[in-house]
Amino acid sequence: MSRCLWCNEEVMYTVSIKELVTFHCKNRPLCLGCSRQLKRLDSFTRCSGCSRISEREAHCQDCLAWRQRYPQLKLKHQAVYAYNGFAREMVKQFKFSGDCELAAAFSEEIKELTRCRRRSSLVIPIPISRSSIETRGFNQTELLLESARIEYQRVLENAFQREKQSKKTRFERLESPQPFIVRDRMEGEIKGKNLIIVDDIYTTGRTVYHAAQLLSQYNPASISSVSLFR
Amino acid sequence: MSKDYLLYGRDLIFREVHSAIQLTDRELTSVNQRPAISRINGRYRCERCGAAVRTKKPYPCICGGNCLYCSDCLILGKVRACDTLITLEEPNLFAPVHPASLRWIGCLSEEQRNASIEISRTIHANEERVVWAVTGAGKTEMLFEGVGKALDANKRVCIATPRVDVCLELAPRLRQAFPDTSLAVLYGSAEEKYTYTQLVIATTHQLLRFKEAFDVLIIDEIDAFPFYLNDMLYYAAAKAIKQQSSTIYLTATPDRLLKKRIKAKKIKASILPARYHGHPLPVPSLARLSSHASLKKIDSNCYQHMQELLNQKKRFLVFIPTIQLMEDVMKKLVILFSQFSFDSVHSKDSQRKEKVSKMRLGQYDFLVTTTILERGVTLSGIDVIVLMAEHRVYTEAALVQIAGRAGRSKEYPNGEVTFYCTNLTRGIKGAVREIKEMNRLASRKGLLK
Repeated sequence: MSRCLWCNEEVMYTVSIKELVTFHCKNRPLCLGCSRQLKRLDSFTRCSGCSRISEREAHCQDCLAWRQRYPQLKLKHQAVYAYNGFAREMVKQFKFSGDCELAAAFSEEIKELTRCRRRSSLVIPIPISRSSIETRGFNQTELLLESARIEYQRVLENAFQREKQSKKTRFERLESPQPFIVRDRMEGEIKGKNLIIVDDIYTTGRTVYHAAQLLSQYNPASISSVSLFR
Repeated sequence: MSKDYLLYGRDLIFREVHSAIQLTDRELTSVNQRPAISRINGRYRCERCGAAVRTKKPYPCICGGNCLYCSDCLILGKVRACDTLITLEEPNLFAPVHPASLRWIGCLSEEQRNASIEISRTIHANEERVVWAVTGAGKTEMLFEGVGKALDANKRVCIATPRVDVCLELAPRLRQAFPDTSLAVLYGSAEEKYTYTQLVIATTHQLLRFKEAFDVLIIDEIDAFPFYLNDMLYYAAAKAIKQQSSTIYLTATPDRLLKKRIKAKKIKASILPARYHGHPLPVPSLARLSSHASLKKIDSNCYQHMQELLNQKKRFLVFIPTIQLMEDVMKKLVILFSQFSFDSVHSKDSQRKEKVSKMRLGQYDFLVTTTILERGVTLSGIDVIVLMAEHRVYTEAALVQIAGRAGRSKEYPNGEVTFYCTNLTRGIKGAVREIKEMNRLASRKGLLK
């Protein structure tokens, strides 16, 4: 019997018919009670540009603004879970308290997100700033990808010594300058590839659009972006 | 104050200390350092909390390499394999208080006095003792004499408890009894910073940040912990005390293991089966709840009962097992009892402290609560209603504690306790048996009025 990664209770579940037939048991890192508190976004109507829960499937105000600013990008951001109170607690424990083991709770979701739609795709995690590496020691997005056994390339680097995005106001975030650079000898890797930018949380979209805007200069075949929470 | 004071008897992660107060090379040579995660027979153990390291593999770390970390005491700050723990030997540098530390004037019942003398002797002789006293026996007052003598003997004293609420309840009482002694209250979300004090009130988690610091350690409500955290509590206690020291365990509901040790005389015990006012413990009466679904509609028996209590102007607590259920019940109660003032409180409530103190002041007719008010809280003159007493959060100990909320004051010693349940569980039967047993013991000793 496994224990829930979050509440340490025993994980109880009913085996599905598919599992019985295929003899392949699904990995359940969270117990039913905890996984229920995470709200899957695909059960709601969402903005087609950023996966935000909204009444219409058309682009939301923010996405329209992004389109205007970066007309060439046309990102369709995909996210799995709503960033609600429970998700916030989990992220806090994972990123800020540094409970790396929690990465395993989301390996199925990460696999689902980065499932290669086309060949010659390249998974690119968003890098964290040097000061974050000093205090935290790990890049949460890379950990998520590693626990899902997804291959990725460290194409980008965070060149700015700056404050954390999560400590800023919305306006400050939207106005922050390009923090990323492409690492040496990585330009060739990008060309002609289908890029998948991976981040842990999508809040204003600023980070993802910075990354996409930079990467688009090196002639990739396509750019898509995904995150765990929205 | 020199930096040394912050390290006497502490057990802290070097990296955290260094980033806060920058130790010089000379200072570094004088402190004791040891690896935070040790390897014994191929197994890794966290030196701070004593738990076996559960992390399956090393993760990228701030040291540049990959390190294991301890996930059990993460709440106190991450302990990584590359960390070291530092400590300075406790020198007991306290200013003596004249003429005596204890300023409490009050009188103890005969039973309390006996226990109080036993406790002082145990502290003096650096021994261990369990004080098994029923809820409302006046445990805190019995400690005063022993603690006062220890403080006068320049000993460092800690009172630890698993619950923050109990900590907050104890602090003002001790501050009043020992007004001139330096006192620190340590708990997770505490606002004040750590200072070096002779008297420390702490949650048991905070105890993990001490090493060989205390001459006297008193652990209140030792059974308040969920079972799996017990090992950590005992490790923390063993680490925080000096080699020559005394430990006192206080409890109203000892677990089976402790009862066994008491019966086998492996640990000295003072047993107080009666309350300080000499009235027997209220024995819970059991009432049938027709089914779970009816809880959402408020069972008619229960509703009448509440109505009756309200008509008689009696105040009461309603215990409900989970926050989810509480929200359901509250919706109904708001409609049924709209003319009365009441509220609900649970562990995630930000106004928890305010609501409890409002109830204490009599501004509410009744208060609906989860098990957070189960222990360590004294509200005078109240009755108790437990809904769904068969729920698994209500263990025997929990129910005994809940029943112990009633009839605590001299003025209103015969509180009523009612358990509403659909079926009887071991916990319910055990709790009733335990309470009756204690009453019998008390009347045999002639302690009841």
